Amino acid sequence: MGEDAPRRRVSLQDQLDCIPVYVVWEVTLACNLKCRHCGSRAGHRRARELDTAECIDVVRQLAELGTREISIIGGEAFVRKDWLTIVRAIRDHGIDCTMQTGGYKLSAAMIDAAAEAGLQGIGVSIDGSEALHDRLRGVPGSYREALRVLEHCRRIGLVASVNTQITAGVMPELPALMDTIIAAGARYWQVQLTVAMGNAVDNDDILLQPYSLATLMPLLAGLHRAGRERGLTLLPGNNIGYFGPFDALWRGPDRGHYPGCPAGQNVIGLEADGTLKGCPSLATDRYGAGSVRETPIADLWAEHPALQFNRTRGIEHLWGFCRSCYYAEVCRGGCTWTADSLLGRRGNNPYCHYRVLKLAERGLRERIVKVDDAPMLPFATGRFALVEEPWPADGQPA
Amino acid sequence: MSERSTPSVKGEAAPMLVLCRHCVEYVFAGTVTCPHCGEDARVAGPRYRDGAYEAIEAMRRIEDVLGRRRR
Repeated sequence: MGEDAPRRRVSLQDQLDCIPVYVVWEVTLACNLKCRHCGSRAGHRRARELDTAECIDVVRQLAELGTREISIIGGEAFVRKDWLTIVRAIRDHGIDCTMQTGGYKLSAAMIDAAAEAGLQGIGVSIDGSEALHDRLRGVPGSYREALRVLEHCRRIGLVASVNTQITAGVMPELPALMDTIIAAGARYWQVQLTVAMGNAVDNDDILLQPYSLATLMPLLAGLHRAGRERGLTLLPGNNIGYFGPFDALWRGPDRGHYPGCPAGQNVIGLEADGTLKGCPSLATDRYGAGSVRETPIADLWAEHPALQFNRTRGIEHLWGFCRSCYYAEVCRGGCTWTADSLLGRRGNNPYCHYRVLKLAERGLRERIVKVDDAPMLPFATGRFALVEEPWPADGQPA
Repeated sequence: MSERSTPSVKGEAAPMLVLCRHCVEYVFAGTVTCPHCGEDARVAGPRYRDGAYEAIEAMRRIEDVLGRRRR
C-alpha cells in the first residue's frame, strides 16, 4: 500500500480530467484512542453519520466518477458495526480498499474478516518508541497493540504499512523504529509532519519547528536508503518536501516529482456525516463543500467552489516566500492542509526543505509561535505567527 | 454503471520538471545553467550516471508522450 501503488498513481490524464482517483473516507468520528495530535478531535461519533445504505450509495457514486482507491479512516473505522459491509461494497464496485488505523483492539479475527471482505492493506499508526507512542496516543498499551496488528497482517499475507507522525520528539527514535517495524513485517513506511490542527494546537509543544527540517530531511534520506536495502519503502507524506536535494530520491524520477497539492483535483475527503471536502484533513469551515445527503457527489465535484481551488494551477494565492520561489508554478505552496491550518491561509508553507536551505544561505530560519487556540470542534484551526530570525551560528545546516 | 460525470471545470497539469544532470535536483525543461549547482544542467555528471537516472528519465518521457497521444 502507499502512494506508489499503481492504481492510485495520478496520471496526466487524471489531472486534466479531474478524476477523484483517491478518496479518504472518515466512516465514523468515534475512536478508542485519545491522540494528542488529532486534527479531527476524534472520540465520539458525529451527530448524524451516514447509515449503511447511504454509505453504499456513496461507493456507487464514487465508482461512477472513476475513483480507484478508497481508504477508510476514523476516528477508528472498525468501531462502526457495518465497516465490513462498506469494505465489501467498495470492492464489489471494483475499487481498491485500504484502511488506516491505530490498531487498538483490532483483533486477529477482525483482521481476518476484513481480508475476507476484500480489504487489501492496512496502515497502522506507530509514532515512535513505546513510551512516546503511548503518550501521544493517550492510551497505555496502544503501541503493543499496533505491533500485534502488524505481525498478524504478516502471518496472513495482508499488506501492512506504518504511518508515523513526525513530532518534535521523534527524530532520535526513528532509526530504532525502522528496525522495529521491519521486524514486525511492514513493507511501507509513510511519514507525515504533525499539522497544527485540533488537538495539536492545544499541544503545540509536539509540533516540529520549520527549521528542524534541516535535520529531519537528511535523516529521512538515510533511512530511505537503509530501508530500501531491507525491503522497506519509506514514503514521504504529502507534507514532506519539497524538492531540494532528496526529492529525486523518494519521489522520482521513476515515480515523478512532487506535482503540487492534489486536493479537489484528484483527491476527495469525506466526513462521516456526508460532508465532502477536497482532502480529508482540510478545515471544514473553509473547505466543506456541502453534504452528499443533499446533493449528488458528481454535482458537488463539478460545481462547488470549495473543491475548485487546485484545478487551474494558478499561483495568485501564493504569498510570502512561496510567492517568489523557483518552484512556485509546480509546488504552489505544497500541502494546502499544512499551510492553511498553520497560518489561516493557503499558499505560504514554511515546512519546506528547499525553503529552509535557501533561508539558511542568508543566515536565516523560521519558527512558529501560537497566537490563537483552536475551537473545540473537529478540524478546527488556531493561528500561528511565523517568526524569521538569524540562524544561531553553531546550529546552521551544512 | 451509469455514464461518468464530467466536471465542469477541467483541470490543468503540473509543469513537467527534469533533473539537472549534474546535481540531480529538479529544474524546468530547457534549463541550461542549473540554478542550484551552477553547472550545465544538460551534461551528465557522476551522480546522475551512477543512479541510472538517464534510463529512468527516458522511460518517463515515453510514458508522457504515450499519455498525451491517448488524450
